[in-house]
Amino acid sequence: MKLNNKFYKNTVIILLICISLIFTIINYFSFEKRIHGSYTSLDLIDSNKNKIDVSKFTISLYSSLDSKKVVPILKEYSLIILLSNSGCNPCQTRELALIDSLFYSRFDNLSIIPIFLGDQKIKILQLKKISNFKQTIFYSKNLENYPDIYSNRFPIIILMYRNKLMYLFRPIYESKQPSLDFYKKFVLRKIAN
Amino acid sequence: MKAYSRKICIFFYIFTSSMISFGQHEYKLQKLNKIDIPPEIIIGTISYLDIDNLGNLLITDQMSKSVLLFTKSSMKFKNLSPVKCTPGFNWRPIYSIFNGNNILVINSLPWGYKFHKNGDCYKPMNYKFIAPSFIINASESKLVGYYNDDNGNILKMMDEDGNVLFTFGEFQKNFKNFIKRFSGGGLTTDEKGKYIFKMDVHSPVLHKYNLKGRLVDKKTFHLLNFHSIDRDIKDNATNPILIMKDLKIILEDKSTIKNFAYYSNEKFIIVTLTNKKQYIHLVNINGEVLFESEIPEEISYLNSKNGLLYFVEQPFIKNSEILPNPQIILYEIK
Repeated sequence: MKLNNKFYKNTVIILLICISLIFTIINYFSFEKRIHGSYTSLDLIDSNKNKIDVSKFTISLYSSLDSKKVVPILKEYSLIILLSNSGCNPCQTRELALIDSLFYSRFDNLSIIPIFLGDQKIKILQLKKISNFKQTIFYSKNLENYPDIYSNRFPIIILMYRNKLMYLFRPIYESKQPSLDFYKKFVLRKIAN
Repeated sequence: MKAYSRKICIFFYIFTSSMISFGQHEYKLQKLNKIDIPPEIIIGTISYLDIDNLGNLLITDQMSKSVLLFTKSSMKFKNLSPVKCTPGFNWRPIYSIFNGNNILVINSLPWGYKFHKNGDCYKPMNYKFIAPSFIINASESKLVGYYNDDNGNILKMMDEDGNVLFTFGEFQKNFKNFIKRFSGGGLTTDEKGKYIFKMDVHSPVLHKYNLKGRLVDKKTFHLLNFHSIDRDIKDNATNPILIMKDLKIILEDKSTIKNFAYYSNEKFIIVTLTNKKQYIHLVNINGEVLFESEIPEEISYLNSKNGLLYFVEQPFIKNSEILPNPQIILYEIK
């Protein structure tokens, strides 16, 4: 009877461990699959029931090459880099250089869309030059109605998956390590799968 | 008799008018030469420029986090770095100045780093030192900083390591928030570093202090197209969006002092900004305006030394994303 009781207790404990393990695994996979869509930075992106659709840009974008109006092409994954003159310039150049070295022309399913919020073309060209960023940077005009520009901390990095926001990342000023971790552990892992 | 008096009148008229034209000197802004930064050195912009008595240049580029020392005699550039002496130093230069036998780089936390005059690294500033909006080296190895911190707007006399000796300075209290939040104005010293001259961002009033911090003179200039602001930023304004909106209203058709620097022989340069137009003014210690002109859009004023004006120009290549290095252009007022 004593043996039976002990066996019963052990079985319950093992069962509880298994159940919690199953829950942890389910939780992990559901988190990985979830689309985190509660952010609507500068109304660039239309939000609809917490799902964000970048196919509807609410501002016009222009190319820093020839100042002509452009519509960026979105692929399965899109890495949007929001830049601003009010942002930390060394952080912005560091982030552009990192993105360029990790992703430029390496993935067919990824489009990189750097957007400078403002039409100070000289600032865009300076950022490009210092970071040795090879792609064209898009920029927007007439941002008077977007007061977020003064309160947000730039750069802001957004990873989209099939036009839906997946991750939003704000690099920190002091170190590039969190940025490297984000690109390698989250972005690269996602797009390489 | 009538003819005789007429002759005397004509003679006096010619004499006095010739005397007036002799007394008035026609000043002109004259371009001298330019300094090219070689393409192998990549810089985004020249955020700040300091010049020493020999004409050597200290160029700070906040964007590429670089400070370049240009030696006039060898025509060579040296990139300053604290890495050899202080590995791991968080290098984020804001601006840099020649400081006697040293070079002082004002940095964004830690707030300062010292280099030897030849550009070799030396040591960080005292940990108590905080970066001011402007800093100058006065005589007797003293530093003077123009601070806009939580304690208000103040001038601090410091030793060469940045330890505060005493504070001084007269600031208009009814514009304290504007002075604190809006960059502009300046702090400068004469050739011998005997006097300290200060001008705030909101009004063209020159304050002259001696090395004991005593106000010895004060002059107000009446500058071309300068319209002073009427009111300060609201006291309780902390929200950056509301501050930006308030600033837009305050600055509508109004002017600010963008730069203030010593020129030579008790003459000063004031650069003002009115409705996105820049004006340069040459003034003297007696409160007289000697020369005024609008600055062409393509150039921007950096600093002055020994009667020379240093401007920066950014060349462009049409329909290209390649940006050449900015050029330093020297002018003088003759």
